[in-house]
This record gives sequence, structure tokens and C-alpha cells, in this order.
Amino acid sequence: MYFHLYNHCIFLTGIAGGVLYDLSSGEFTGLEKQECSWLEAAEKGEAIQDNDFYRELEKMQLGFYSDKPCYIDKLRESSPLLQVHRDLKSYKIQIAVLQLTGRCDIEGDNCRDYFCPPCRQGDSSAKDLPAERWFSIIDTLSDAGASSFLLTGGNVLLYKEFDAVLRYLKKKDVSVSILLPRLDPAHPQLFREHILLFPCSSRQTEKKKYHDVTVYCPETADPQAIEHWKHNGYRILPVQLSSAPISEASLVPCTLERYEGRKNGDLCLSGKIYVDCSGNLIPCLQGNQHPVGSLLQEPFYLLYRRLIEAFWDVPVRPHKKCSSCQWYYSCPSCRFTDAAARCRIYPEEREEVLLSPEHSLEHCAFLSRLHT
Amino acid sequence: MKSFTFSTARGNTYVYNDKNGFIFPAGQVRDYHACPAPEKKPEALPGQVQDYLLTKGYYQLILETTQRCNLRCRYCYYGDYYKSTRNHSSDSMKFSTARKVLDDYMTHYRTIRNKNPFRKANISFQGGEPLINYGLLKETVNYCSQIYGDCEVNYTVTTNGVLLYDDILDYLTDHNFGIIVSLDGDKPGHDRNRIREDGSGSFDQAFQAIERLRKRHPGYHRLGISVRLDYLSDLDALDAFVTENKLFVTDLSMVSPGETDYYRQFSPEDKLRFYRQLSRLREQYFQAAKEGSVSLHRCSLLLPLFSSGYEMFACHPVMQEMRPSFFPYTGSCIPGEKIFASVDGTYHMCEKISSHFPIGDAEHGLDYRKIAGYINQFNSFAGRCSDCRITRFCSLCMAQAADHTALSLPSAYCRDKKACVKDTLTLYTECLEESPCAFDRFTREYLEERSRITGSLPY
Repeated sequence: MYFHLYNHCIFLTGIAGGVLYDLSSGEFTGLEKQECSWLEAAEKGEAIQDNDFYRELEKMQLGFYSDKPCYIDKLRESSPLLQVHRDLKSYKIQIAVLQLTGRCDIEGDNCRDYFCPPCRQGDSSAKDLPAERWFSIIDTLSDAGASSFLLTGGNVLLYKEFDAVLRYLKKKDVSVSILLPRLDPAHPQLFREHILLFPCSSRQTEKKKYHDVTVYCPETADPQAIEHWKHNGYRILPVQLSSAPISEASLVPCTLERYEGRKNGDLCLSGKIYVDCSGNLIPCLQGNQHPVGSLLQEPFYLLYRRLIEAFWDVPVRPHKKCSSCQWYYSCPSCRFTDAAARCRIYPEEREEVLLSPEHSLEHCAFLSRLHT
Repeated sequence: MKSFTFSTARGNTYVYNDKNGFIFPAGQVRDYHACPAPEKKPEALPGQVQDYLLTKGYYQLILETTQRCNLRCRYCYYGDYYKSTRNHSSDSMKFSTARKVLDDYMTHYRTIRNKNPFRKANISFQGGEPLINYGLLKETVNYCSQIYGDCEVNYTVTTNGVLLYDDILDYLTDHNFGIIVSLDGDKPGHDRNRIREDGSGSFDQAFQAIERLRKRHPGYHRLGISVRLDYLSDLDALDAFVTENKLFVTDLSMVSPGETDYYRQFSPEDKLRFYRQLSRLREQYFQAAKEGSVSLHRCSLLLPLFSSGYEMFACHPVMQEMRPSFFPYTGSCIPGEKIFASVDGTYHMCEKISSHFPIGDAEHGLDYRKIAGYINQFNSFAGRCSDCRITRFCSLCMAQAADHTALSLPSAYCRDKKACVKDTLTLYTECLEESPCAFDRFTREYLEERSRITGSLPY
């Protein structure tokens, strides 16, 4: 008797256990060591002794029995062979984020505590780039395929030539939104207001002249503050702070897209171009200490290449224990936050586990072709 | 359901589901991420074609430096066996023409580089025999390095090897050319077909050129051979020759059967003997794959002979169609991804298609309207594809479908392709039942090496 996982199920062993990802639904199931051993044997094509564990997996529609070993064509977005050539891959700029100014006139709790979508206060004495520089940057990025622009700051409305930049963008066939830091004096908690300016969506709030507004607030925000914004008719979206602990409760669903994205690179950074208020290309505002170069001094394609090589195509392993963690694909960790300090799943550095090869992600022979 | 079943020697039955491109054990079929071929393809518009090509096109430029050739290979596209291609001529490309072509290609390359910064410009020199117009080759390279010095250019030349004198070898290696020598095996195998006008063979000069290159530039890593087979080819002798001389085969294919009576010269016994040899070598390949003993160097002929089978198995598109909707059902490339510029500056889809399907010229660049027209014509005759159960494996290209004036479906293509796909899926699945990772590593190595030498798309 043999047991096989369905092709949409990915089994990984890691530190002190394993996980079974259902890439079709995004759900995942943690596994004990003994369960991992049983599943490893099954995945290697060995005959099994039936037990409740296999029966449960069958009931959950994660696998099936057969009387002979058979081939399972694992679910894949693209063949591993298709990833050999970077010049064939499709790099697409999903969004270009322009930090028009680092100046901000709002100071509140969590201002320094990062959450996405981003604004970030910079050196208030630094001079902003003139609009003509931004026009050139916009031309370069839209020629490179960017069709969506987000203007941010500091407080982007403090940028003197804001209207000129907006007019310039409107002439291009792109969508534009802005991000504004907001503070309700009665509740000193920073929120961020994301406003889609054009093209106009069909949603319209009566109380605001803009057509599509979302307010992002930290999920730890004071409920009264949230009520204040809701009362004004805004759509509220709570988000995690960059300092939030990573626990099993914060793990996110892992669909095929997420799995492929995390396996092959940085799912969060991929597709996003950030230009800071000095004209540097940076991986994101949280990673503004790692510029890849200045758009004012070097050609875009060189910087773009560096960005992809250094960040987009590099899997996120903020800490060495992440290489052995079976929750990697569902982990919301960001490469620029202190994941080691935030991790509550494996808070200790378990060196003896890291050194043990049978706990590496590459152990499972069946999956070895999925990991380069 | 758009699917078919097949069974392996082990007794397992599988279903291939063309809606999403996956293989399932019988009884476990899923339709998730399904995207079947639509009944009618939307019309390709020039603007869409242009948008696509300005992102993914201009991958390779092939310059036909001359139509002159110092050989008269029996199976040559420009010989008597092929009616719809040009004949041998003495025309050569002028530098003024090459310059216009280069300016057009490199300008677009720079645009595309901003979208994919890893893109290289790939410029290939072909003929006739390209080294007859060696002066043009040098002028082209010099021009590129002067005017487009900021661009990463990958050069290759496909040559019969007869004119690979030492100074030319030195120049090509100094400029990191991919050098592909047409060599059909050992002396008897090569000289059977690759002859001069007087009927004498060309093996000695071609092979000596390779030996001299290795002696003058030991370890030069961008050298490969291109091999043509027919039913008199001795595969065992070829295998031994390639392995013994550590030759890397970048291209191995049968003499093209399209629109030719070339194959009438062979007897049924010739054909049987050939396929017996092929079958034996195939068994050897699968056995070596299961044992994990396939490598680039130990299996010099097996990989080019059989890796296309695994490529087909592993690289067929899966899940939702990611390509633009106007793309052909088949895996045909879009004209403009590759550009073959003939001696007079006319652009063609590739070096294999007849000259009746131009896609632009050096003066005006690519003609997106014309390209859209070809795509629509190609899609219109492939109207049966919506019912086909192997759309994701189909590799019919425009060159195969082109005759004198029109694109049409070759008569036995669909039947032969379906049989081939089923056979390939069965063979590979049988092997993968025992060893799921048997083919990935060495197939990837072979494709990488081949693309590194030739500069062309890996598949």
C-alpha cells in the first residue's frame, strides 16, 4: 500500500517538525516529528503501514492511497527549467513609489514604527529635488513599464511642486495615488490615508471629493481612534507593525503564488521600485539604508539590475534559522526588520538543530528538485 | 474533458489534462487553474504586437552576411531539394546595410534592457558561409563596440569551418564569439553530405580547424558543433566520435523533411536500421538517467538527441495562459523575437522560413502590421485547436507552416504530434515513477551550456 500527497500539497520538514502546505487553498497543517517520518516514507515511494494519520490526510483531501508507487506532477507555476535564464524571466514593475519629500509636519505615536504602505520622515533640512528631475525619473520608470505610481513622503503635500508632478503624471497613461500621514489630535496615533487620484474608480464616498480612499492603521491602534476614522466614512484596514512579534497566529496563507515568490526571491519587494527624496533607488522605504545607486548619476538599467540581484531575486532569510524553518513560506517576516528578535515560533537560536542535515529544507528527496 | 489517458509499464494509468497542463493519476484529476484554449483567438492588433515585442522581442539578430558558400551540402536549404527557399547566389551584405540593421536592433535593445536589465544583445552571423564576408563581420563588431559600447553583446557565428584560419580563430576568440561548426560526425559521416562543388569532402579542414582552435586557445568555452542527420547517419559512430573528441553538440536535428523529396532516396531498410539505433540509444539514455550517470561530458550525444523530449515534458506551459491572448495556440514564436536580416536588409522571422514572409526591413524596422497579419493567418487555420488535447505541447511554428505563399497546417502534423506527445509522456512518466528528479539537473546543465554558446533562446 502506498500513499501520495496530491500535487498541490507541499511537505517540508524543518526545526522540530514539519508542515504540509495546501497551495490550492493556502491552508497549512503543522506536523509532529513522527508524522513527518511517516510522510517522508510515503513521499519517497516506500510502502506504508496504514494508520490514522494517513486516513486523516485522505479525509482532508490532501492525499490518496494507491496499490503501486506512482508519479505526482507537482503543482508549479513555472517549470524549474524555465528559471535558468534571467533574460527570459518577466520582471515587471508593479508600482513605482516616489518619495517627493522627506519633510513632515506630523509627529505621532508609531511615526517611527514602520508599517506598509510607507511614508518615512527624512532629513527635514535636505533640499527636495526640483520637479524637472522627477519628470525625468517618471519618464524613465514609465518607459520601463511602470503603470502605477504612488507619491509619498514625509508629508507629500509639503512638496512645493506637487501639483506640477501630478499634472505631469496625469498626461501619462498611468494610475496615481498618494499616501498622506494623518493624525487625529484627540488620539495621537499615526494613520496613513491612501487616496487613488486617477484613473477614477467607480467607488465614491460622499463625504470626500476623492474617489477611492483607504486608511491604514496599526492593528494595535486605539479602538476609539479607529472609530473616529470610521465615523468619517473611510474604509479602514489594520496592518501589522514592523516590530510586531511573529507567532503562529501571524502566519499567512501560502498559495502557489506566495510559495513560488518566497522560494525564488523576495515576494514583498519584487515588482516595486522606490525612489527616495534624493533620487536614490532603494529596495523600499524601510530599507532606505541600502540604496543601489542614484538615478541622477547612473543609468536606470544598471540600478535596476542591482536591485533585482541584491533584493528581488534573493529569498528572504533574515536569520540563519530561517533556512531550516518549515514555516518560512507562511512567515510574514520582512528582510529589513529584526526577524530574529520578533520570532516567537523559534525564539532561541537552536544551533544543534541548524547543523543537523535532516532538518534542512533540502532533506526531503522528493522536493529536492524544487529547491535550487 | 480535454484530456487523454496513458498507462505505464508498471500498470499505473494517468490522465493528462490539457486544461491546466498537469498529469494526474487516473481518478485524481483536478481542474484547478484551468485555462483551456479558447474557441476563437482574438485578432492580433499591430499595437499589441508592438507592445509585446518592445518588451520581449528583439532577442536575437541574425545577419546573413553573404549568400555565397564554398560548399554544396546535399541537404542545404538553398539547394535543389527545397523549392520554396532561395537558391545559391553570390550576393553579400554591404556594411551600409548592416549598419542600418544594427542601429535598428540596438536602439530597440536599449529600450528593452530597461525592462529586463539582464538582457544581452545577441548577434549571430550566418550565410551561405559567413566567413566568406569576414570583412563585414569585423566591421560590424567594431561598429558595435564604438557606438554601442555600453551594451553587452553576445556574438556567435555558424560556419562550415573550412575558412577558420588562425587569424580568424584568434579574432573570434578574442571577441568571445560562440563558434558553431557544422560537423556531421566522423569523416565518412560528414563527407557523405557536406561536400564541395567538385564533390570532395570538407571534414579534414573543418575538424582540423577545431583542433587548431583547441591548441591555440585551450579551454575556450564557447565552441560547439551542429549536426544534421538522415537515415544513413550512423548514430553509434557519431556517438563514439562526439564522446571521444569531447565535442559539445549545440544543435542536432534531422534534415528538414518539409516540402522536399530528399527522403525518397532512402530505403525502408535504411529507415529501420536508423530507428533501431535510435531506440537502443534511447534505452541507454533512460537507463543512465535512472542510475544518475548522465553528465554533459559522458553522454555527449544522448543529451542533444533526447533532452528535447524532457524539455517538452517539463517546459510545457501549465495553468493559466500567461502569454498575450493573441498568441498562437501552438508554441510558435512571435515574428520579431528573432530577426533574420538577409543580405539586402529585408527582415524575416528566421533563417528557415521562405523569403515570401518578410516582417520588415532595415529602412523601416519591423512592420508590426504585417506581423499581426501573419499571426492572424496562422491562428485562422489552426481553428481546430480549441478541441485539441495537446495544445500545450504543440510546437508548430510559422516556418514549418509556410510554403510558397501561405501559412497552412502541414497535413500529418497533428496526427504525428499527438502520437509523439503520448509516447513521450509515457516514457518519461515511467522513469519518473522510479526517480522523480532523474532529468532536471543534467537537462538544465545542457540547456544552459547550449544557450551560453549559441546565444539563442534555450528552448
